[in-house]
Amino acid sequence: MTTTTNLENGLFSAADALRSKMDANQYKDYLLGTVFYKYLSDSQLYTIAELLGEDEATLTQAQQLYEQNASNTDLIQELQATFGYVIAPEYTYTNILKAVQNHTFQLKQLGDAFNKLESTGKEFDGLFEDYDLYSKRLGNTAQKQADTIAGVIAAIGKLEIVKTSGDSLGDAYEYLISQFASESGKKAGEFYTPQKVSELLTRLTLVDKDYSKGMTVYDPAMGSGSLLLNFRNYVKHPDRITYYGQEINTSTYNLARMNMILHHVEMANQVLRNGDTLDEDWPAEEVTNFDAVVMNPPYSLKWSAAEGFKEDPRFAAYGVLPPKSKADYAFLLHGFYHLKHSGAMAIVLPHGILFRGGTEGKIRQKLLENGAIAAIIGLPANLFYSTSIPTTIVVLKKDKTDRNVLFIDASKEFEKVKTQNVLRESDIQRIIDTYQKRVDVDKYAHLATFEEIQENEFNLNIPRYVDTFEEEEPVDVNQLLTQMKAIKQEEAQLTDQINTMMAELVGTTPEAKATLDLLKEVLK
Amino acid sequence: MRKWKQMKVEKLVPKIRFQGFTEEWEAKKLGEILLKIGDGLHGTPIYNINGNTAFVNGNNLINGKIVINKETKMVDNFQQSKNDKSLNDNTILMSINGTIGNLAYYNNENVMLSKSVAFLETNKYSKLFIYQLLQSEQIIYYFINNLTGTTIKNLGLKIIRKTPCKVPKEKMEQENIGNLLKKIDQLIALQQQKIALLELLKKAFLQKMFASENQKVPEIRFVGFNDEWEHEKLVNLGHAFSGLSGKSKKDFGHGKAKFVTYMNVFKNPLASLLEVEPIEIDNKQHEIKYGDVFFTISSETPMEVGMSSVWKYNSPNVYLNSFCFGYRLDYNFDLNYLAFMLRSNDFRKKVIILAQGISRFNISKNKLLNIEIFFPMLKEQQKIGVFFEELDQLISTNNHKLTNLKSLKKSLLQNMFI
Repeated sequence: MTTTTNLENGLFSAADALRSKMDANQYKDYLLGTVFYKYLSDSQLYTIAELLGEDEATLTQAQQLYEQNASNTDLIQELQATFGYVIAPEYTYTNILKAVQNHTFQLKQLGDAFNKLESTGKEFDGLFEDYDLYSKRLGNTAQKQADTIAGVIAAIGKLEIVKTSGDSLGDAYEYLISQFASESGKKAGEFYTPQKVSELLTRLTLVDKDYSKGMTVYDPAMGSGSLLLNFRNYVKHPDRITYYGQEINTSTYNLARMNMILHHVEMANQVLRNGDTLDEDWPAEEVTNFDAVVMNPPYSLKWSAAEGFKEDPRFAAYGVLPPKSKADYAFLLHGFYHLKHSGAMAIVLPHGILFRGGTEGKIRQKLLENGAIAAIIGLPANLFYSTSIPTTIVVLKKDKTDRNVLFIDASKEFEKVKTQNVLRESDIQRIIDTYQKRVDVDKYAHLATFEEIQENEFNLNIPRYVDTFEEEEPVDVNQLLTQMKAIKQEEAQLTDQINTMMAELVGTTPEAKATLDLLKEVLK
Repeated sequence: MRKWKQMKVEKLVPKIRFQGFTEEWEAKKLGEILLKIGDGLHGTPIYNINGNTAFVNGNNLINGKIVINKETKMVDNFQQSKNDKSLNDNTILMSINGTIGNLAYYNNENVMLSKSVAFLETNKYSKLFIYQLLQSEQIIYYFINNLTGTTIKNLGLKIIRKTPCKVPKEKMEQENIGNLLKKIDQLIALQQQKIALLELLKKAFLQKMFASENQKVPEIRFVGFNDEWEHEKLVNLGHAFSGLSGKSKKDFGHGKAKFVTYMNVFKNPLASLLEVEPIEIDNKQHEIKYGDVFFTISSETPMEVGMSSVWKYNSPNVYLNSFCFGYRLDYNFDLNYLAFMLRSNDFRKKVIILAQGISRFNISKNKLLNIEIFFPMLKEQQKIGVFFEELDQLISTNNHKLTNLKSLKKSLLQNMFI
């Protein structure tokens, strides 16, 4: 079995073939696409071997078995039923890899393989759109382009990605995405929410809920979909979750689709859309009541704030629109609008939303007056790849019976890993426990009444509610005195000893004699 | 016949030496006077938070000692033996990567060296002497001229071996020099400890000599004063004014007027007359006056927002930088008292809560002026003010003494080595 670290390293070094040719944001499409295809192909091959009673077969052996049994219609039907796709023997990753090793590989072979798969059904339609086989970036001639791709196929071909422990392929995918995020900076950060933050958002919406009969979750800015997929880890029946997600960027949207497939989410259980969340309300006609809404939208994005939005049901109740320069509250209100009465929403936003005035202040006041804000959680700075600013989680609910807000200052509890800060499992647990109990914790949490918030003019800046000021240690006067006395005594002794030794010094030139006479006076 | 110009032969003796020694010194290389020269582990060990061996870098070598701090990584004991460099009582450690030339005596501590630390083992030549020799200008100069590396400088072991030096033949003379300079090092270390203790003393008084929300009278006060302290919001005692406004880059750096810099306000409870920068006279700006208080508006951490400074000078055409705001009292306060009270624990705590921002932290002028301050009658203020000012002066006198001791050491290094 391949360990996660090996898998991560393998994937990362596979990128070497591409790294010199293009930036991370572009080569991710090749790398992630190749890994995805290999995953589909390998899963199928291993299943074929198992169906034929050869559980221990290697990929090469499984390929042979497949070739020998390709005309077995029962087998093919079984595959179709299990996977929703069938990759023909000539198009398996293993077969393509063989061509690479025999130096007979042609781009057409891979292109055909992708086309065949994409035409299998809606599930795969357009998935390899960004995998441009004939891009000039891969090389100037067809041969060079083929060589580059062959390099990637060979490098990834060495890796075992199906028979890995737990969710390690998912983790490795996350790792790759995080590497892209750090290599291409802010650009790539937009599709990635660190695992631990995703976990926290997810668990916050699940506190005191029982979704064993099923649930719906919605991420209106889903990126690669990893935040949505987190729910699988924290509910009893993951197969009863229905995922709704929207993403504006087409490549990222495709990434989310692959991610769903890699995590075995049935088509019936996912409604993903490639579109602009703020521009047009979605989902408008389908279910608009979600048990959980989670999001980590782009911070302080510019948006149109057109007058017409005042009539939009998402914003109409607030009388004003978030400013053009900062769509933070637009995202928040969008998500909140789609929340079920009994549901919970958790959103990550920059601290500015807690205290900025203007229309944002008015929206904030309205939300507080309605008792919609359940908790404000201050997170450590530098948690994200895209930005180092400190962020905050706002938890919203529609069925709260009071107007209290729980403030948690979790900004000081994290672990530093290289240049990033990371939430530890214990940090997340402490936040969840505190959120559940809703009581004051010294230097950590405070349950503020509506009156208190009113007194602070609806400014939610966390230090006003959670006092984390560390009292100075009182000076140990006893120790101070002892040390001072000892120093004075030692100083006197040393000075004596030094003066005695200096008296024994001689100058070897007339100038040196003069210098020495002065030096001898210094400590007298 | 060609005439050879007679060379003047420089005698190898130091300008200042111990009496009774007359013999010339020898020219050697460091590699010849040391038994062993090596460095630590190239690469990364496996860290273990619960390990009992410190993984030591060049910056752990401070003033002759190995100083372990919070950032120091720990490793297991067995790794130590795996990379055993047989350190012993005769070993001197020196930083050779990044910071060059920090020194420490090895005192049998449980450590593992990184590649940024060299170990130098002495035997025939005095350890104390070599320790000081490594600080002499001639040696440092040679090191610096032979560093490799662009951003992170490195001193190679080969270079250390090749470094020329002059040493007394007699071990006794070496020992004497080493001993004297060691004692001066000790005196410098003592002086540093003394300053730290004096700072602590001041802190103790800052904690106890001001009233606060919880204690209407301070824990410690001067004899003869018994009245309860008054309290009032700043906004009711004076008014705010702004720093420089409407200035662009080209307006700075010239002119007959001055402005008080941000750092001056940030660092000093009482602003310094020296930390000002030139600017053109401009009667649209607020001229600062004797008794004005300045507050910084923004900072990088919430702990540093709203730092205060009091101006005690009567000097015309001085303005305040644009990252601060000023506050002018309508009532008579003792300025020293004001300066220290505004930096006391109680007041700072109230300021820090008001800090808000994303990448930088700001403070609202109105919010700050809403803070309540505590104060006694003027006579008691004056007593407290003078007391803290004198404490500050005592600390600064001791800082001067420290500087002087360092100069003494430097002068001896210059004169007692060749």
